[in-house]
Amino acid sequence: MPSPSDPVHARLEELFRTYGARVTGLLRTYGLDKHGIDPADVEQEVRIRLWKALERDRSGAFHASYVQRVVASTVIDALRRAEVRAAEPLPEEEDDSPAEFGDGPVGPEQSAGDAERMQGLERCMAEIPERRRLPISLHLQGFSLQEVADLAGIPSAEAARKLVSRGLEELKSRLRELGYGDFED
Amino acid sequence: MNDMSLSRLYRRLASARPQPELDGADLAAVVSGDAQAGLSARHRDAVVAKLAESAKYADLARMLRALEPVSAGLAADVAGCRRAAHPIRGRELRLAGGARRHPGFLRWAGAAAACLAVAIGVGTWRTLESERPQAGVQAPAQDRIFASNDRIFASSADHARPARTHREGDVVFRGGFAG
Repeated sequence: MPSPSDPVHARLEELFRTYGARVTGLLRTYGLDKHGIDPADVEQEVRIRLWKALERDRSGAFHASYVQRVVASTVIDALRRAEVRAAEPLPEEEDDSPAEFGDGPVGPEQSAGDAERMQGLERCMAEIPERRRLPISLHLQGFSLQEVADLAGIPSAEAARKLVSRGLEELKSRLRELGYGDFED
Repeated sequence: MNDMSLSRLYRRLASARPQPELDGADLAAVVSGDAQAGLSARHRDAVVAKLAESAKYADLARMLRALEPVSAGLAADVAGCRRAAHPIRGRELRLAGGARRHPGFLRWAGAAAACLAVAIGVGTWRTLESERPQAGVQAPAQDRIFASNDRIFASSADHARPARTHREGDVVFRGGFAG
């Protein structure tokens, strides 16, 4: 590996620093920092792993798919560590942590009703045919119709839209019948 | 007032679930639609099902999608950086460059070693060639077996005994005449 004073080393260092900054930004944009991970730690770990990969195989190709795998593995490791930390008892903090996850804080009334409604939602989802359940779940997770089509192996975004819209109508109808009220998307 | 957003309720449900095990390489392959990753359809479906169930993995998958062009850019930049660096380093570190600093000594030593090897080879070959005819003489030795067989047969042949019986017969005849 070239020494730190080497211009090649300096250039690689700069490239990794720029890349790391983008990773940090995207971790925050996509809300991964809300799942208990520190984007700065992840960014540093990604850079270390990429440097090691370069040192390990100097002549090998440095593919984009490999870089993506490094980022995915690093974030998953960080999420696991965060989950373990969250599972450990914290004697001084009495606040329940579920409010930390998801989309923003949940008030006491809402959290009381949430558990019941989540159970209802889980039950209704289980009753929906599997062919529709996966596209609906992916859509509710925030994936676009094209992404839903790509991930679920649906031929087109239009076909995914039809499956999702029918499935959502069915889901809302079931929730209404069970007395959970009128939901919106 | 209850939050009536289905997607937000589902994400809270997905966040509350325990995180399933997922391999980073599998996730990256599914997100990029990399057919060369060698994931079976069943394995791929299992990964997608985990994305559907886990809010964390779904967030990560969407982030990886957004990161794809950035990663491609990094890979291209690193490759360009290496291409630019390698020819220069190659010239500096090439061993043949060192050999040219002392061409006389190394060339003469190499030529002498090669000549010596050729001389030894030629000498060995000639020695072997000169020994070859003696080795060729041994071929008839195999015929001795047949020759000895011939002797065995020869000892039982009719022309061997008649000589002796003939001589004995002569003695009897000779005795007869004497008496």
